[in-house]
Amino acid sequence: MTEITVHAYGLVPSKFFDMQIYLNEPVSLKEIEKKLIEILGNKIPSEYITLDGLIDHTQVFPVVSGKRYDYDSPNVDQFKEIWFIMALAGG
Amino acid sequence: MEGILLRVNLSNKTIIKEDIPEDYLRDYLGGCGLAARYLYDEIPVKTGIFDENNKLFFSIGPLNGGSFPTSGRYNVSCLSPLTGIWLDSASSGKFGYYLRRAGYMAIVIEGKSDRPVYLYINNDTVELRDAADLWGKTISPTISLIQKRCSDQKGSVVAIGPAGEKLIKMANIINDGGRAAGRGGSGALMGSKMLKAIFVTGNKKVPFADEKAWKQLVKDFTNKVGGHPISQAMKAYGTSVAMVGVSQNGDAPTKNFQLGTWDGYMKISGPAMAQTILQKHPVGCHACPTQCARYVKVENGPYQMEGEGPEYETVGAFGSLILNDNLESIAYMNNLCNEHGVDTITTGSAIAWVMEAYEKGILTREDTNGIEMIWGNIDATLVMLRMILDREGLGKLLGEGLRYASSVVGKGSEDFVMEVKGLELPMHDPRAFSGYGITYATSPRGGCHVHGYIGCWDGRFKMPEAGITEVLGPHADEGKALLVIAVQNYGAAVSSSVFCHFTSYVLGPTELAQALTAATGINYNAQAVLKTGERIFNLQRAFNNRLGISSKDDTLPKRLLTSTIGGPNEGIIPDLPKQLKEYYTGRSWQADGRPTKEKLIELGLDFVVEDLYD
Repeated sequence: MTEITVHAYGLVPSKFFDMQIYLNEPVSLKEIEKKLIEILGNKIPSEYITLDGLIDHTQVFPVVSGKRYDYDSPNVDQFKEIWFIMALAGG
Repeated sequence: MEGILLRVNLSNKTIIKEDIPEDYLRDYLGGCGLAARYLYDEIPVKTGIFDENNKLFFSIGPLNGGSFPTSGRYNVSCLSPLTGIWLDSASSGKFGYYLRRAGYMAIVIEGKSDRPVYLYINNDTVELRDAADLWGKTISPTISLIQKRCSDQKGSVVAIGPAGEKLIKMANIINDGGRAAGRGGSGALMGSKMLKAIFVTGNKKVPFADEKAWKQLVKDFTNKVGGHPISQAMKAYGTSVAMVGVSQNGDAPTKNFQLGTWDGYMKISGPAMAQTILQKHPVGCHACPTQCARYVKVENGPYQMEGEGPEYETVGAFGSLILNDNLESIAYMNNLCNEHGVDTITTGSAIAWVMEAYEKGILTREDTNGIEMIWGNIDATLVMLRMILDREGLGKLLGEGLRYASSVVGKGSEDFVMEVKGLELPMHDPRAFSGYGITYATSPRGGCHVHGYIGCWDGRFKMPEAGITEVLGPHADEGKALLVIAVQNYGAAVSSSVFCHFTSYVLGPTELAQALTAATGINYNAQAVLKTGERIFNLQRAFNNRLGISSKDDTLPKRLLTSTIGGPNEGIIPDLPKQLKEYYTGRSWQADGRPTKEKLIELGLDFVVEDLYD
């Protein structure tokens, strides 16, 4: 098992919090997202979930080490923390 | 559809009520569209910014006057004192609601008064009243005194502060305690006319064509907007919640657009505000389910204040742009700007420019009255801010806008003035979202992020009604200009209807068409909405073309065409020439930047053709 810190910045509306999740290695972004959806359940708005049961990256994007992350990015076991950030432009 | 325009001439003190032609309301809706239709005819080409011939046009639209979500909004347009080209500016609050309830769709202010006055509107009673004792006062006492003078009637006041009276070219018009019609200096024009304020109240029934459908739409859209996760986030943390995303996606301009990252973002974000200076008072705009406005209080220390809290743009301009991570000081600066009535984006940009010029040795202590204008120096920022507000020393020059100030200072300082067409850029970096680049380059009022509200769409949404069927990546160049055109057209329709761009996360052209149909009885569909927006956008462009604006002006500051230093977008540069080519083709604009004759005729802008083509 490996511990990953998730910075959930808007994945749950009006909430910004950090949480730890534990996954078997090797982990992938898809597994992280499935785990988050399992833990947070319907606290995550349906608008943020794709038909594949993953996080919609146009609405909430994953970031690792300051760079946007996607399913074809390198394995998650190379890092220990990941951000999920809602897409909000301010004004 | 019908509407009444109040024509107020301050020179001869006449007030006339005119019926607005039906075709104007059908083809331009209201807001900035109606303003463009009137002002294109009524502001002569060679008008100077403070000439009597420059007019202030306050306007609302067919969705105002009821409970449509965010419909407290109003528009104000003129020839911009800051840029010398088209300006439309919008603010929320309650003014738009009360103006429609008083029975008016627009007010055009002409001429100049020889003494300070304010305009009083209570249904059919419209009169100019003496404002001599209000002249020189800041915003809060001005609004408070007018409300008392109007027997505390429920209503709304728009006003200028001392900055507008002093003709500072970034002066705003402020309403309802802290909402601002910002950018471009409409407050300075109001000051030049010696019009201190407008009070409006009314209780007339506003007719909506299909009352039953209207009520249902209002209910549905209010629930949709209020229930959206973005609205909930903004309700909890205000617009500066966006700083949270910026901390990871590099969208906030930092150190005058030089850096791509900074460790101070989270300290000045919405969540930080909620944990520190946020009060629980409800502050909000009429019929808004989001309520993103903040009310804050700094109780101790050097930055004590109480009032409306800073928005994202202000947090950026007085925060990351100048490397200031002290939220209390930002709240203080915001309050100072609001009370005096100046634009926080332009003012923060001016401070950033001075800091960079100081760092490079272009400006010295002799120029800054001995102040060490180094990055992040809060005390220095406050001194310079007061110099701008007092029109003192270098502050007087900055009050003319950065394009002019840099042309006077010279020595290469023009290279790091972050403006387009004379309007300083808002707090979004095109190297994070390429759509901002083409938006800034082509907006009719210069460097602007709400003509249209591309930040909502870029990298996030499709617009199938406009043929945009794929979500483009934030850095995409190909196809991005077509998205920007669609968003600009939709945005022009929103700003003419008139309601808030923050609804764009939920409402699009299809929903707007439904609302317009129910409100007016005219059958709009999504394509008609977009075509109306396109007509308005092109008329504003023609207004500018007539003043000499051409393709050479559709560009970005050099710095945005180079990489940030560090950050998530390092090495990423928007391909502006490629985007512009796609944009001009998509818009049917000629290489010189004028809409083609065929496009103008297609849009019903035949009256423009002879002005642009001899």
